[in-house]
Amino acid sequence: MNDESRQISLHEWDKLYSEFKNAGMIEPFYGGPLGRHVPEGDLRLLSLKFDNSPEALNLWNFLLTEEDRLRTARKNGKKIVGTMKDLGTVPVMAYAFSGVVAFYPDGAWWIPCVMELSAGLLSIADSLGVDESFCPVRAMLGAFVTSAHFPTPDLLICSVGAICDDFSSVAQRLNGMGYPILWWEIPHRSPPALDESGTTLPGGFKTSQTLVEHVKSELARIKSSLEDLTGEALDDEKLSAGIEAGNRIRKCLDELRTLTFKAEICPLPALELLIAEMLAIHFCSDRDEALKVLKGLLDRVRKRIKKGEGFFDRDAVRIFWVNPVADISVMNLLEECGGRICGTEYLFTHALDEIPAYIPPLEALARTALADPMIGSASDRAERICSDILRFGSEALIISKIPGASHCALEGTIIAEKVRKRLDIPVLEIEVPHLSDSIQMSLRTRMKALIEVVLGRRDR
Amino acid sequence: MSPSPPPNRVIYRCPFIPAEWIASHGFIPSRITPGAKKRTGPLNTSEGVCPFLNSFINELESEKDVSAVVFTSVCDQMRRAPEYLAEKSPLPKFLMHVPATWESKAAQKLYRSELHRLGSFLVNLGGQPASNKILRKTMQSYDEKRNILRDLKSKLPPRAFSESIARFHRTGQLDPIPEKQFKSGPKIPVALIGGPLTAQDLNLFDAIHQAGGFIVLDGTETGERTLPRSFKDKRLQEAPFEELADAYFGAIPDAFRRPNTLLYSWMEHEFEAEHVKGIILLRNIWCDIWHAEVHRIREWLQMPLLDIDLTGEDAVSRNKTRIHAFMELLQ
Repeated sequence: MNDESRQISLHEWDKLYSEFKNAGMIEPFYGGPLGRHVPEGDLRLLSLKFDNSPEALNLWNFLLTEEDRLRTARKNGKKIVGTMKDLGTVPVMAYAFSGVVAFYPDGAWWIPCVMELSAGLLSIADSLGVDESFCPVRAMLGAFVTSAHFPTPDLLICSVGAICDDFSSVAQRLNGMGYPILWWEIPHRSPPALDESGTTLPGGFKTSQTLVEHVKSELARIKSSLEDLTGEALDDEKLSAGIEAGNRIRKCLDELRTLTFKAEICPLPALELLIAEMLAIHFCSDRDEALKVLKGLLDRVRKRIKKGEGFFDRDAVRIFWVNPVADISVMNLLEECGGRICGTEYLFTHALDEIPAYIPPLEALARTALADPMIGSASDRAERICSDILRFGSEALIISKIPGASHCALEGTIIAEKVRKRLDIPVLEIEVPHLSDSIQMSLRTRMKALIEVVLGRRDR
Repeated sequence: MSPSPPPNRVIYRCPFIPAEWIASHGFIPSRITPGAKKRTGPLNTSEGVCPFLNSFINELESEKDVSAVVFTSVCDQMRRAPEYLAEKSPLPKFLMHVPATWESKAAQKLYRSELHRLGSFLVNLGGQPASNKILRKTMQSYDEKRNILRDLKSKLPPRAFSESIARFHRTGQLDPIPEKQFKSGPKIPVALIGGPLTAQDLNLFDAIHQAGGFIVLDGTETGERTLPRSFKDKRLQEAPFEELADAYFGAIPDAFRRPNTLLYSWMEHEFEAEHVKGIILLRNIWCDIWHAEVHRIREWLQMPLLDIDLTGEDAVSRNKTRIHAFMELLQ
């Protein structure tokens, strides 16, 4: 079997799958040919290009079978908890309970892309008065109405306060439709007072201990609700064990990202790395399996680096990407234009940094929650982006605006200005809708122009 | 020539910032209603930007004697405004987090803590610490004025009443009180609900009146909805700061609150009390918070609702026909 790293189509994957099976490939319980997901509605797979490794196959199958896992968990008597918006903190606590599976209903924002609008979720959102002027997360409303993509959770937990208006409004709309929600307050991360030394958070931001105490009390309230739901008490020891398990995933992902971004030849394409990062926020509803999947990818990346092989040209332009895309095919597009991802900030760096293990667990989670890049200033976010750009050697920045998202109106400008001023690298702002097919030419032209600018600068 | 007095106005927009708190620190609280969207000013980008935010920020340049501007977190764009302005405006800025949750003790505690933080900011700016004695006296004065203000409703036409509220927020002073009650003649009672309005948007009041409507309730952020409740005497004496916090944070209904059940209770009560026949919802374009409520209010209230989006341009010419049609529907 040819071990060469290539990007392949879905059709090629199904042929390769047979070869792998004949060669004795052992798959996890959710394995199978990728093509089987297309009749289930995942039509976008037909347009994508994939990493041709068995580890990437596992990653995709793991992602695309999450719905099945949630239904099985419900059938087996587990409590299903829908955690919303905080992107990475509450699931760490939820998975510390033995009988809980937590997931982000927010993830439904990708269903219109993956199913190429065939699921009708956006029409449902329209009918509920939440139209295209809102961020794509409005698809979540449709997902709740149809119950076709995940079972209705036993408990919904949603962070509000210093979050985007779109999500807050969509969640309130859901609540208004009769879904009870446990709301908790995440405050705007303000710097400590002049006469206060403040508390340093994972990732390096600083804030006042007053805010840490507030978030701690909110997480205690969430813990209490989870205990009532499950009938299980969660002491510090169990919570610490949950944090340790979460940190194993974060460490693995950190190594995967660092190796990938710094490698001379790209060892893992952008699309697979995007999905790998997403595993950090709620472990794709199976924490233990998420770690296995990531370890598999990490092994493959290490092998590729050792052999000096990978994807794309050695001279591919190193791009730092800010914000997740509503249409995942755009990650392939960047690579077709001559770029490769060397740095990302997909709104949840606080789910990637290790949770402090040297302090009481609830305080540790509170600090982690407050490290969320979206709850503080865009300048803070830009500072973190700048230091990661320097760390990974990125040559240009792409800020991908999310259509309708309230934070994008001003935030992109602030980040672009700071990065240009500090690092003097070219910056491109684009907007990516659910399906970018009709604007692909324009996106391609603009990305290629950015690539050319960077190549020109190299020659100087 | 005597030197000009130092600037001492603190400008803000959000109804959850108690004027009394600013005043007790020795400043003049000035909750402004901007004129109209401006094409020039510190905010020189418009794509996806709320027109009200544009008006508010670009109006700051023309305001006089300003010591500081206070923003809050009640909407995402306002939350990001101070850092957008960081290098574009020399005015000291403060961002106060107003919790979206309101039912828990933690949320109430956080609000009070943020008020204290605002107080420290004002002291650092040259203000005085707010003693209980000064706070109590200031609260009593504002409470009395707000009670008089509420009485003006029966004595002024709707637009004039809303403008009186705006002037009171801006200056802390009341307009002269007319002697007679205002009589509207036979008109259809309608309620306004929604976000903040600019002075230009108030032209819609005239358009509604000309179409046969009478605004019995201004439930926009600019109107009576966002007046805090009256203070309770005993608590005012015993714990003025806590009473102040409760009268604002615990009582003002708004769409951004989570859950926003207070808003719906308020609408139910007020619409019945005022015999409202139809609702006109005024929201700034890009304001998701109010936009998401349109459909829900329609479903819940089972009453005719006209949804008008405000773009920062003249709202009357775009909506005159719709307003007339709406009034015909209500007849």
